Amino acid sequence: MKKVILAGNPNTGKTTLFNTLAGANEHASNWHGVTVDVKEKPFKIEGQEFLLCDIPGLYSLDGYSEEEKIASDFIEKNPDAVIVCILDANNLRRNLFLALELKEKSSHVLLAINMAKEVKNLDAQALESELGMKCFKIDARKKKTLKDLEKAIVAESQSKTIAKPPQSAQPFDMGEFEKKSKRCFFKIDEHLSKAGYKTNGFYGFSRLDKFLLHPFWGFLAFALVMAAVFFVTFGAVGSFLSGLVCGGAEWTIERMTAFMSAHLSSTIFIDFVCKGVLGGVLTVLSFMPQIVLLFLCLNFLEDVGYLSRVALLFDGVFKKLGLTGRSAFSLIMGFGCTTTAIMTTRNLDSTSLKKRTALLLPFMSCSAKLPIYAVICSAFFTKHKALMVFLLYMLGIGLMLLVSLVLKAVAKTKSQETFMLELPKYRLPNFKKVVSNAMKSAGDFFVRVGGILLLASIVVFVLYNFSFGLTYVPLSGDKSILESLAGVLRYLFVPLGFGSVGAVIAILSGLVAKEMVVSSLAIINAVGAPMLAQSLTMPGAAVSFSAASAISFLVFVLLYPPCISAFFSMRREVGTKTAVLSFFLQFAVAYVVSFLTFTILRLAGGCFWWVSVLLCFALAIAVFVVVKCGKKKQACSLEVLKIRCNSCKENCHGNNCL
Amino acid sequence: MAGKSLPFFISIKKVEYIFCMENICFLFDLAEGEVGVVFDFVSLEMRKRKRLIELGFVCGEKVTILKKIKNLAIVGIRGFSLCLDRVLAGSIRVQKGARA
Repeated sequence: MKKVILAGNPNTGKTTLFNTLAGANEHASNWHGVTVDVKEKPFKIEGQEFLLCDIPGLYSLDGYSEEEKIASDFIEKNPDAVIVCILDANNLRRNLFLALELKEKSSHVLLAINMAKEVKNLDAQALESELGMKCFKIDARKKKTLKDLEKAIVAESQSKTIAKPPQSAQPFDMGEFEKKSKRCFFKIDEHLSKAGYKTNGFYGFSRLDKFLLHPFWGFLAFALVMAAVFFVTFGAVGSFLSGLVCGGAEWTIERMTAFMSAHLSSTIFIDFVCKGVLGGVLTVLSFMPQIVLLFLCLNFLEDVGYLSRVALLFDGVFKKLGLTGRSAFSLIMGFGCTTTAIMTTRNLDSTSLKKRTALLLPFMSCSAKLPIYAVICSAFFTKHKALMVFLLYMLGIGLMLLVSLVLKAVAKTKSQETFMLELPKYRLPNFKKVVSNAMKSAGDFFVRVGGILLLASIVVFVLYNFSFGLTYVPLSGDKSILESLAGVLRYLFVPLGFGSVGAVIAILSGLVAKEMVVSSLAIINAVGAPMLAQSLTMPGAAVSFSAASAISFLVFVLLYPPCISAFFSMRREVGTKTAVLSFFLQFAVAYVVSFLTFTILRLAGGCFWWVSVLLCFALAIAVFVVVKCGKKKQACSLEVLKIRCNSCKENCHGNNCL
Repeated sequence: MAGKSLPFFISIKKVEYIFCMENICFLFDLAEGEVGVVFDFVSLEMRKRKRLIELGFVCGEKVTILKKIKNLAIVGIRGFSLCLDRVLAGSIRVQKGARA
């Protein structure tokens, strides 16, 4: 099958074109570095079959970051493939640099000028004759604008490959490269002026940035945006939708139990299906609306182009923590799924930065933890549910900042991380794309629930309801297998306030997948979704909490190691040693913080609500103080530049004098 | 050199050179809205320098400071905007007020 490679600079619309051409549903967004691996999908044009390959964005063929190397190696390994170089019509003066490099490498290069409608005076034919490559004006989102391009792909795949002279194996010469680049840019300007190409201002930068990137107003706007996201997700809208699904789940379980009781006599089988399988899976599924809402909000912000500004806004803070604003991409992705977020650390420049970012990622609360927060907060903090969840997220971020300071001190890295980011243009979000991305994320969640969770629910049900002698515990009254095992471990959790066997089982099952915590709680308390929250407040239930122990449990869930797939993802990206270190670090932090929370709240007595708010403020102040102290201790270390700094009048060139 | 008399043996070319060097500063030292022309790079890691060249920071290219935020500078070059931190923007030398 002939390969068609979609190459181009980051954020030019490669994945959007991939989705439109091949009918795929890959995540595409208005920021660069979304695609980190090669994605392939077969597709047909005029009955002919092709393999469409979406590669990560790259600026030149000589890779700089890991994902760029993946892209350039892929092009290198497929000399016969048709390369479709996607260019952003607003940014041709830079995008054409790669196109000219590709022309030197391959004889099958087609240029697809995306968002061509946004530039009025572009003559594609004149550009085609200037560059000697076929040019097509397209809108990657609209299939009907791609017809000419599709025909050209078929024609190009049938043409003969002209062998290009191999590159000389001379060592890289920077001076020569600079001269070559200068010539190339000069040529591009010449070609574009002949093609009548003109743009006004600088693409990406807008007047709105003066406000959104302001050191004070920018952070305030960010806090307001995040608060709005949480109130939409957990406030009236989220709770209403979740309530509807919850009711549906309960109705299904009730009907199923009634139906099976009428036709079957085996209590074990009825319990297994209704309480084990349906109870576990449907309880988690009832939180689906809140997860979809969170993904909708995040995708909306991504599509608008705001999340890139967030990375820029936080660069100053992150620099002090030994990270860069680019780490913000991965950390924000961590709110969705830790496993995927760990994969995005490939974008980062150095190995040490990659490792530190990967170690901090589990502190960002992933979407799988939402059902746990929703259940426990609706049981204990009905009025302030959204605020409580917001505080939990802030606690995760605060601890991430503190741990990153510790890591920075331990690592003692001398090399200064740099930050470079292209600003994407603010765009009105494509509603269809936002919804489809959110549905895809929700679909992944659903598949997870359908696969691992179904299996794990069955395992938990069997282990919790059968003894070592394989007798059914609710009838025989013996101790179940899980009870016997968790009975030993429960003493470890007594100081944290949730030393019951059921809570320990829920915590352990969460190591497989975080969704399992709620599912296990439902199985152990033998209730459906609507009654689960209420059952957790009843002292007689198998798992029940006091307000203090509930907060302690939430804090532990927030901080303890993420699921198995995140562990393996981390192992693949940053090595076994770091993955194991992350596991124990998470466990230690979760244990200590949870213990402190429970002890303080217990001592505080009835005013635990105010104490938890104060604790979060104390954490924020602690982070602020540590950052400020760290700043004073810094000395002017970058003497290599030997240039006077305006702030300290020393030789640091201002790098440490902010 | 302003205000000082030049020794008689300095050639016109040297005067031009000195005058040119007078206007050389780091990209980060330019004020918001100021325009400079890329002159050269100072002590920057090879691959980072290569990346900047790929993005258009070649000698003679016009660059505008769009916004400065503490240790960051949003610069406009070749029709697009790019955010550089102080380390990167501080290693690119530009000629102030020159014509591209």
